[in-house]
Amino acid sequence: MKLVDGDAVLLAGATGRVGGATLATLVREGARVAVLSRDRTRAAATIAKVLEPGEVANALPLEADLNDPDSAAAAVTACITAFGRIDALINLAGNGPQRIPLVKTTLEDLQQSIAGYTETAYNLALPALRAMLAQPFRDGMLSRGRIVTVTAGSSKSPAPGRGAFAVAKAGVNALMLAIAREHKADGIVANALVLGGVAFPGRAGSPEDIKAAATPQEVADVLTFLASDRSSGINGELVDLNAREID
Amino acid sequence: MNLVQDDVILLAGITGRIGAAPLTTLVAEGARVVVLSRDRKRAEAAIAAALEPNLRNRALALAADLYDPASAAAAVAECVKTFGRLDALVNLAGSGWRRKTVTDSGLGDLRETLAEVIDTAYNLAQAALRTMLAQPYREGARSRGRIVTVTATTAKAPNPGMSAFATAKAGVNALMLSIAREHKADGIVANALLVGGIAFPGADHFRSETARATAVSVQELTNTLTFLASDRSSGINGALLDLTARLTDR
Repeated sequence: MKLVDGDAVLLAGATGRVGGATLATLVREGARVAVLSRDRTRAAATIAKVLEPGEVANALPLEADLNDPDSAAAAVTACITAFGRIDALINLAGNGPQRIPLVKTTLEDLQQSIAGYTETAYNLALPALRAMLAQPFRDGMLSRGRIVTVTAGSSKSPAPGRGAFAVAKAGVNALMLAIAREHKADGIVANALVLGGVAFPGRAGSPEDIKAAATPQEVADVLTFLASDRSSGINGELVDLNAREID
Repeated sequence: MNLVQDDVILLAGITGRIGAAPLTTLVAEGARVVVLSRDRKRAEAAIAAALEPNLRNRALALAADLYDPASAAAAVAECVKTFGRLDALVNLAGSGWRRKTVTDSGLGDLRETLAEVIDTAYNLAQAALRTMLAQPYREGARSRGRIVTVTATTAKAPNPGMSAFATAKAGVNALMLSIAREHKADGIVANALLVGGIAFPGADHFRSETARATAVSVQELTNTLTFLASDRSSGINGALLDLTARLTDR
């Protein structure tokens, strides 16, 4: 049975490193997907690249500036206009300075990280949550809507040089847990997927490091499960995706 | 696409209060399943309850005494003999707990619970692990074999009176992490799924209808176990995954 059959999914950050595999997997598992990017042309290019011609009708390219609450809310509205509802939000988006030793940072660096990761996650999760709360459960479903945002291992155990990034991503973890706890009785399921290393094409590292890292498809498969109603028992979790890097 | 299409799965511990839902779902998702119980008749009854007659050839009832390493290994060997390999072990056995505080308990109580929970999990996981390590990957699969054992949230945050059970389940959590860490480069994936309140069929231990509605349903438990038994969960390895659903802030 398909995991997300008939679900409407909003996928943000689809033009990034694991977005393409996630989009293709979602569509093959039965979803209609609103594909959100800063630039609609890039969203359309990703759709054309990863989907078969017969699948393209199940994807809708959208653009939004996730630093702008109104723009993020408009993307959620566009998803609902096209597909009738929003069953899941998968947020892979976020940007900011990733590697600066804290001793060399300024407050502006920290604020930039928080704006690029925490605020964008908040701006998109809020209108998605409000829309989910306003819609009925799909027939036979255990949940009304699922929200999963991708964060990083540094949010729990900051790697040297990633302090500002770690603070911002830890905020996203807390945001997901707060949504889960405030709306557990309303059929909302919210989790963070905490990524370890991902072996995206062109990644530097030894062959052992590359083999130990998760593949984009491994990330896509777990995201698709967390976007599905079948994951409803997992709620308010920081799910580690460490593949073969676990110790 | 079915999650566990043509995978061979050893399923232990469904002839108690969990009921047959895990078996129904695993077979519906394409698996061939060995149902393990202390008593083969109970395993046969679970198969009859879970599967339509035309699907029953996808399941095999076996008896094993999981306190006995040789018996656990024999069950794994029988699984391989019948279905050719072992892609996943799903272990829900060892769920018995008795409420006793630390001060009221004796070493005998602790040992009894440790044996029931840890020894049985170890005996079955080790036999399954050795078999998985000796077999090739299925074509196109990212992992050679998956092991998932159900433990309890009380292992991380013990409820008063649950000391022996919490101690034992914490040991099983460490066992799963040890397997994952020792064999991460060998294609082995091992995780623990930590459950809190489960709304068992016919369960009457809930204080109210609200408490029952808040608990995790057996189908929710089943859905996550099925995913963790599948090759698609290979990115999640060496994790203690809480299944707390609507109890998320407890």
